[in-house]
Amino acid sequence: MKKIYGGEKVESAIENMAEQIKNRGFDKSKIGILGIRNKGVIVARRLADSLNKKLGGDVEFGSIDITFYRDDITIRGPKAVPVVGVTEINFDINHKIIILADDVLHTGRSCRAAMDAVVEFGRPAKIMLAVLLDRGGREFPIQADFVGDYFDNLAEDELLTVKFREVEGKDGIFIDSK
Amino acid sequence: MAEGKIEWTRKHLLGLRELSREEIELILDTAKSFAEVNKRSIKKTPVLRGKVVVNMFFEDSTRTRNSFTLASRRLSADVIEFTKKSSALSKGETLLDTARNLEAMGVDLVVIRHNAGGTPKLLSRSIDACVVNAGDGFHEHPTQALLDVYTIREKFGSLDGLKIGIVGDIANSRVARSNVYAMTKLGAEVTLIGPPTLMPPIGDLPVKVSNSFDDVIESLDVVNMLRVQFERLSSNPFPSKREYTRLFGLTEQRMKRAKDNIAVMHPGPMNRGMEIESSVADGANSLILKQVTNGIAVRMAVLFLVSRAPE
Repeated sequence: MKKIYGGEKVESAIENMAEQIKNRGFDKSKIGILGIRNKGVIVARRLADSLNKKLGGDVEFGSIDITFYRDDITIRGPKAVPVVGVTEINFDINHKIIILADDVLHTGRSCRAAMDAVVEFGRPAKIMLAVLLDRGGREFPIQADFVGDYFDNLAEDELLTVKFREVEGKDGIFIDSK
Repeated sequence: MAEGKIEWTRKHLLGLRELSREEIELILDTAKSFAEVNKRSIKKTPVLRGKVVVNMFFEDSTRTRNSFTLASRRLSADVIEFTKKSSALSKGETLLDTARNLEAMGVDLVVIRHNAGGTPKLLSRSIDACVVNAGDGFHEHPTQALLDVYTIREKFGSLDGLKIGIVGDIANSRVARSNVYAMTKLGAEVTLIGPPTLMPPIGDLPVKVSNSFDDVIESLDVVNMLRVQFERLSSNPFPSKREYTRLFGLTEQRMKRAKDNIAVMHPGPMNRGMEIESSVADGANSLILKQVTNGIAVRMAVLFLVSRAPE
């Protein structure tokens, strides 16, 4: 696994996203940030912290597990059954601007599944997407509204991974072969 | 997507004897996520969309059947309810022929309860669909035990080191057998309590046995009260119901000697006033209705996992 950027790149990407959201001029009481499990939850937490500093308030925050909504859920696989994470949304999503947060946007399938999961909790005014890194390679017609940074020159067999201090002890952006 | 610590490879759930601690914990962890789904306003997930589940119940059942039906529907499966009386079995068709015919209609999962032990295993060897045991004879009732340990884990956080008493008609109880496998694998110390006439040979089961409820009640963290299954008895195993209640019933009087936070459980149906007094069954220590609620999430987890297993 080859490290291509350190923690400062991750931090600046979070700041970028927060700034873009702030510039949209949303009413902060209407914003709800939902991290897509697993690493999207870390992104969402940091994004919420940054946004709170910029907007001077507490934006709603939660997490959403998409395992049950994946389009490969009914395919019997040789892979281990995924550990299903818990969805925690402790606020009413109706009429809210829901910002889904994730670490890497690639095919768009995770985001599609997350939207399916979200609408089971109510009817948000808007669902938007914030991603730390956009690496291109979409298989669904999905685009992020807020992007920390772009990595769209990767080969298909390269894997873009973000490590976070909360899990791996240190922030960093890595490339590995699949 | 996070990958599981262990690989789930079982296409069928026939019993808990052959499951490892890690496999049991995976079911319980998965059930926790489904419990969250069951608290939503829309209690549905698309996990089994397009799949067909058939409930084949050859014995009477209220809780288990309804629980499986609800679990299947909440996973978005189509459900066929099958009863012996309303089927071609009453015309002489064999169980296997019936199952194969159902499979020919595109059934993906078969949930079966039968009065003959081993029937789910026979079925699993004869058809391609996933088979889930909903209770077979005196053998096992795995999903009941799974919901029991889920409920205990929910209250205490872990079963490690807990002292659990299973009280009553052990000899005729498939629940007791599955309970022992699940509870001991998760680290609990299990004591089987009942009259000698309702105590089967224990063999190599890692349990203690007591013929006196009063001798052990003070030490128990959990007590699981079993119904005396008169329908399976050929002779009277005790002088009278009153005598049974005096010695093995969970009464208010006996509860005074138990730990303050003892968990009271019962797989149902209850004989109120016999193995358990109503005031105890409905009291502050009772987890009986919690067991029923948790049963749906646990069965959702089981159906999900077996349906995902490799072919």
